[in-house]
Amino acid sequence: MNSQAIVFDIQKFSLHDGPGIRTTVFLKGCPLRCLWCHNPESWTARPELLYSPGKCTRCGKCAAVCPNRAHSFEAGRHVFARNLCLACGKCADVCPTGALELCGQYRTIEDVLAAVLADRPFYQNSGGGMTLSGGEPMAQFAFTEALLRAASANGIHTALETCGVAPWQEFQNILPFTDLFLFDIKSLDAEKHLQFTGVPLAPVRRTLDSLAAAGVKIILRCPLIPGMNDSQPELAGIGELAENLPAVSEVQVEPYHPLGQSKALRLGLSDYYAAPFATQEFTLACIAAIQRHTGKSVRKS
Amino acid sequence: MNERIARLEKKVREEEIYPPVVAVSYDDFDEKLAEPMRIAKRLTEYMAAQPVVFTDDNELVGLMRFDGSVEADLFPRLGHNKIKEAFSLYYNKPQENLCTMEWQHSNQDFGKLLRIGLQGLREEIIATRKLFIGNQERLNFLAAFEMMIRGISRRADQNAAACRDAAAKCADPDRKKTLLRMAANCARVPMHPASSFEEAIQVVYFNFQFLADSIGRPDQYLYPLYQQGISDGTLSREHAKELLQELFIMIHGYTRLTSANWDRGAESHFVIGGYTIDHEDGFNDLSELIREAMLECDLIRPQLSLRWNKKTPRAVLYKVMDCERKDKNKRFAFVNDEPRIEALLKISKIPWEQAYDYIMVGCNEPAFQGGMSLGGNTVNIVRALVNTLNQRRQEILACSEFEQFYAIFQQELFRDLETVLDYSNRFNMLRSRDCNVLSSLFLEGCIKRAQSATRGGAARALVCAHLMGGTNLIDSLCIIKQFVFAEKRVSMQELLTALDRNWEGYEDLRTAILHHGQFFANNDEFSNSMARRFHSSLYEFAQDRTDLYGYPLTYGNLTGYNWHFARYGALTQATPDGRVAGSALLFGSGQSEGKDHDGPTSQLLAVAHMDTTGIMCGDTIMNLSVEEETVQNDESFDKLVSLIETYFQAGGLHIQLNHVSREDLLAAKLEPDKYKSLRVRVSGFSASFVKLDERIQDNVIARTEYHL
Repeated sequence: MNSQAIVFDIQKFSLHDGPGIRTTVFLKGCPLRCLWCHNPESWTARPELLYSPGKCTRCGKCAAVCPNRAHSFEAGRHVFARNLCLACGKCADVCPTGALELCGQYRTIEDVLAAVLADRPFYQNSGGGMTLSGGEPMAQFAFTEALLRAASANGIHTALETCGVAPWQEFQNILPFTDLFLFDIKSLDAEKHLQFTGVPLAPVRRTLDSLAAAGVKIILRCPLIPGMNDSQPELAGIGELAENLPAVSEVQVEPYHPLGQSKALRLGLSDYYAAPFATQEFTLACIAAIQRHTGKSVRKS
Repeated sequence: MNERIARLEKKVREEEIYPPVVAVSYDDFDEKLAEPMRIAKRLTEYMAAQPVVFTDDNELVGLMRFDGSVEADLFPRLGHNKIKEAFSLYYNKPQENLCTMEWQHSNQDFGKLLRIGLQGLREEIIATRKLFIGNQERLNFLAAFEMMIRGISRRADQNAAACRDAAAKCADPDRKKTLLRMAANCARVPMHPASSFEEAIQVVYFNFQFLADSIGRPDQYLYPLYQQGISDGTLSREHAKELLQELFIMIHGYTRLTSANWDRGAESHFVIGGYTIDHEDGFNDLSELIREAMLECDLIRPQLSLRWNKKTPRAVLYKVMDCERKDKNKRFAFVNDEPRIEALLKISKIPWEQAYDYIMVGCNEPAFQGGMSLGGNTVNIVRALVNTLNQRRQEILACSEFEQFYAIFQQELFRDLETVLDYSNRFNMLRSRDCNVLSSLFLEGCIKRAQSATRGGAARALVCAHLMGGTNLIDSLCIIKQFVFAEKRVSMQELLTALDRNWEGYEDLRTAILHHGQFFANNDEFSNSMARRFHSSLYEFAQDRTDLYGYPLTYGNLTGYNWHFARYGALTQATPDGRVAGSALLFGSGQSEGKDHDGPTSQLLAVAHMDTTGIMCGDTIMNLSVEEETVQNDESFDKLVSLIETYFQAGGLHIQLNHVSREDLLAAKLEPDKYKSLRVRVSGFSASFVKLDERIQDNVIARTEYHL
């Protein structure tokens, strides 16, 4: 059993990732590369350095500690050679302004579980629990399975947010310890799905159908990206999908906001896509379009 | 809200409700009278000379203004010449960068007055006289009390007569009936026990003038008459609400909007809910009505706290939090009966029969109806650590374990706390040179001791000092233990040099502290146990001590309207928690401008468990900032209710919420004119944001705002 995973955040008092007050554990690493991703720092399954040039005071402390000369100063300008960065975190450690931050930390099951259990009184009062998110938690399957099993054994309600891209056998293994699936549907148009996320739609649909057939509780989570996945047939498709799968209790939409953009810049991803903000009118229109095809609840997460 | 109340609300805004003040010239011969007699005589003459004023929309009558022409006329502050002197020495004037004196509160026991009337107080006076035969000074004081009762009673008769006169001239038959009823009420109360809800509210309205502070627990003392009126059909819920609103409007108007203190809400703080004497939750139909009545009025006063306890239904917490989220005037806060009553029993050694009935007054001080809240000294608690680092340097350099260091620190802490107590006693000694007759009549104990409340007459008092910088101190102790003794990242000598140089040349050390320090409010055992240890030291100090009147000590951590946390900080060197010299100290519990990085659940659990002794059950506050969206969205709001409920179940003492966006605050700072009505909760009270000192504004902005 792999008792460590790379985690990029543990968010307490998380209010939008399932019922009640939750602790959401964000695992780093994802098989998808959605163009609009809110969390591009979750893509790779290894630590990465985030660099915010605006906060840099050119004090030079990073260059002094870097074992691989990834930081240098040319004519008073801070040059960060990401290709040389080992993500050891030494520079972030001495950076006085937070311009350099290390994203992603290897953490043990015991450590993560202790953080989750600390908030147990809050879960009990609010019907909350733990949510695993990412990235794609199934990408670090051994850890995910062990953590779900341990939380479940401690009487904690568990939810898993997933894009569905993982072997069915693995999903099957976690069914006994997973109370709720937050299943991401990015687009029901096969061509667009491949184009926007980098993976085909078919395996996603297969997992969803299998989960539904297994009778687990599912909430569909759909990002709404203006101009990308908001066509009437796509939205109608979401409504129909929710309606036709008895296991799905509701649809939660997540209107696009360009938060990922600033993170992408800090990661050195220059060609990151930026859509316009999803306005309130846009969101309401999309909800209405989905709602026309299902009697189940459709709302913002 | 009905039209009558709406008109009254408009009048109070336009300052049309205030009676003119009629100046009185007093007989020089009065100077020959004994002090309390002289005061009582003059007050009686003053009151009789004042006009009775009420508008066509009033159903309650009694508003009167005092002008301070009689020495020590009434609390809170008019006419007290000696307290003015004491204030000129200590108020807003930090002594030795250690402490200063802040305002003190006292509150009437309206419940008692409703039950026995002034008549009952007079009987108490007569009975007490026998105990002081031969003690002329005390007998004079009792005689002054009797004179006051006659004066108040005469004032009530004047009110009754004015209502009768108005009725005689009134053409509208409905209004005429109302005026006659008002006259009948004034003829009966406050001399006699109140026999109806309307009479009871009339008592509170009228008597408020004689000690204008908290109205205590109105949902408890008014409840029997409310129930009686509802069940025998003489009172409708609507009418009860109207009367409450009329009372609230008067309280709001007591501090004029044109006065320098127009925006203050803290001087009329009261409570609803809380334990009854039978250990049940006291939130009742009337508490509910008070909640509704408050929300309908667009006023900034009075303010209230819900007293939560283990028997409070979730629906009650939800309802009052719902008020809180809808109230743009930010009048609602929340306190927990469980730790407070336990501390009152254990530390203040008050029996359940009194402890269950505590109230919240002022910014956030615990108190009793008919009691006083003393102390009120704001303390720079970081000074003890600074003294340890500087004046005990040779000794701490010789320490090989944290335990040794802490023992030296504790000596310094006790020395400072002793000095603070000394200043507090000096202040109260000065204050005791004022002799107060009118307000003392309504403070429990003053009759039985035949003594002015300013001289220890009050039997029910709680003493509390406000500690500024508690979180800086706990964090600094954590860093010393972690960096110097446990991890040995730095020697004591190096740390001291870094602090002496205000981190100059030691920037890397400061960065390492900020990055790796185990700071309080993240719910880890290391910092939690340091907080408990510090509070245990406070307990150890306070355990065997009292103030000069024999009242036991407690501590808290609010800041008043004055910015002492910034003043103390300005004169305080760099501290081991990474704070730079001159920057403001932190007040409240565990808000440390970003060092509390593990989110609100960790912060609240750490704070709930920070003190196992109960010594912090004074005016301790907890500010929580949450995003506007969390309170606006019903589903998130429901989770917020669970958050607060869990915090209270874990033993948290107090909480108040700010749900303004950071952008709002920044914008308000830049363009204050556009944000005059923006109110935030600061320190147990709410205030106009744009009127706050810039340093307090920055502190409010910097408080961790949890992004969801």
